[in-house]
Amino acid sequence: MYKRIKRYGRGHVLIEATGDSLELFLNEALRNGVVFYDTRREDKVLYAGVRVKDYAKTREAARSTGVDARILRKSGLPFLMFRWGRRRGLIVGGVLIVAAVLVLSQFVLSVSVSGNTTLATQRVVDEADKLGIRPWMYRGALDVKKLEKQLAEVLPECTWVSVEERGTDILISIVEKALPPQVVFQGDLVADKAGRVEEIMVIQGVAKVSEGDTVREGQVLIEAETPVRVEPANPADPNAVSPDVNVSELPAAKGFVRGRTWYSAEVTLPLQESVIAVTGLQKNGWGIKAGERVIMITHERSPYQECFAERSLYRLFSWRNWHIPVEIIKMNYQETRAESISRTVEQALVMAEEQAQTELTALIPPDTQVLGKDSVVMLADDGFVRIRVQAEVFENLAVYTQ
Amino acid sequence: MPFKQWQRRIGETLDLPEDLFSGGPRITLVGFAVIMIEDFRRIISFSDERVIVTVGSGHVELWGKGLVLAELSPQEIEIKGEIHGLKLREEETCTKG
Repeated sequence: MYKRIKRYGRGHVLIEATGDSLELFLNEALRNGVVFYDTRREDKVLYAGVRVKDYAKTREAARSTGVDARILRKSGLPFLMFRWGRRRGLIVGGVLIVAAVLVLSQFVLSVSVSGNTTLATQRVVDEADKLGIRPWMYRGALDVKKLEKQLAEVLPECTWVSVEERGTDILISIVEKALPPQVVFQGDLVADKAGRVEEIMVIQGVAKVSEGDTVREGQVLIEAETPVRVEPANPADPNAVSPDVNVSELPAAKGFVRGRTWYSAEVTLPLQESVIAVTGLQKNGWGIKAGERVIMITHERSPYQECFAERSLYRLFSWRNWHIPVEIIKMNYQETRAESISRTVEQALVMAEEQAQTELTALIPPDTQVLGKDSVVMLADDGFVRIRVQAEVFENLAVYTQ
Repeated sequence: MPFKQWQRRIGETLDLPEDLFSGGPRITLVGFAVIMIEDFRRIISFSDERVIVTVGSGHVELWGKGLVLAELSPQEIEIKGEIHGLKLREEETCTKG
């Protein structure tokens, strides 16, 4: 191997020598210090490889022994370099491309933003620009951790900011704060749901209900103050409101109205029910996935008549964004069986009530004072039980119309 | 005593390898496929079936199939191919074959 590399590096020519005194030619050349490689003879023709520097001596030996020698092929690094030397433009172009890629990869070429829903991308880009994250900045000068902190400070709408270098792209990933809905104090306070008013306190506006009243959903509880009326410009129309009065700036109704409201949940449960149950038997099938093509090696099909099948994929090797397009696929088959469940009316009622209670709990807003709960069996017949649970709670009733 | 004889005697006394003091050629055969002849003098005959080279005071003849001179330098000759036979002859006139 080493000899071959050395020969390639020095360069050699394949010669063809024709004549009667080939042995004489070889001996004459050897006397001159020529080294031959892979010398073959076919009748009166001799093929041999000689080093480039020995070619002149070979010619001399051939001439003196009356042998006709000519070059068949030139190979090795010197010839390759000579050939490439003539294509200087191509080499310069190649070097320029490599240099351009190397130089350009040292700079930030784009800034992208992800994860923003309400925050404008341009704003994030502008803030990043002020901190120095902008196209054509030197990547070596980028202190990602520091910029993340600074960016999080200038973007108070975000809970988390990450700055990531992805080649020449700077990806700013943000997570916006989930701000509570802003209450717009505007207009009247109306009932959110039907209920009985227990407490009322007016801060601004006029109370339209009193304690003990039963209210419907949408009924006005505290009315906003009426707009300030100016002297009508036209005496003929005393109700005309001056167009100068901005309605949205009028004082809104303010206050609290609390009372009792009711929540209910209803559940119907059959006494006979068929369900799909897992038997506990399971098998794994392994295979290979290349692109869209799947080749299963074990358990090509499910070994069970009825089953749940779950597919998992495992990547063999990945580096950055690149990964081997072949993945290992695992199919997990879990045997299932259709089972019929029968319950007594009592069992069904207990289950139905449990379910209804769970549903009811989910309906009642958290931190609400529950005054009482009761359950009503509505139907326990005809193969079904139906139960309704209801809760009386004490909560805020008043909401703004908008 | 001539120098050659002194050389031989010292070599034998010191148990040195023969090729160090004998001054003759060295022929190395690797299996039946490669033969290396060091210190040969000249090529008498060469074809893909027969090679004859002179060494020291005699000559080496080998025959076989597809014989190729893998490396041929003034000091050494390396022959590769299917070697069927090898003959060493001393002090005998040899004609080009």
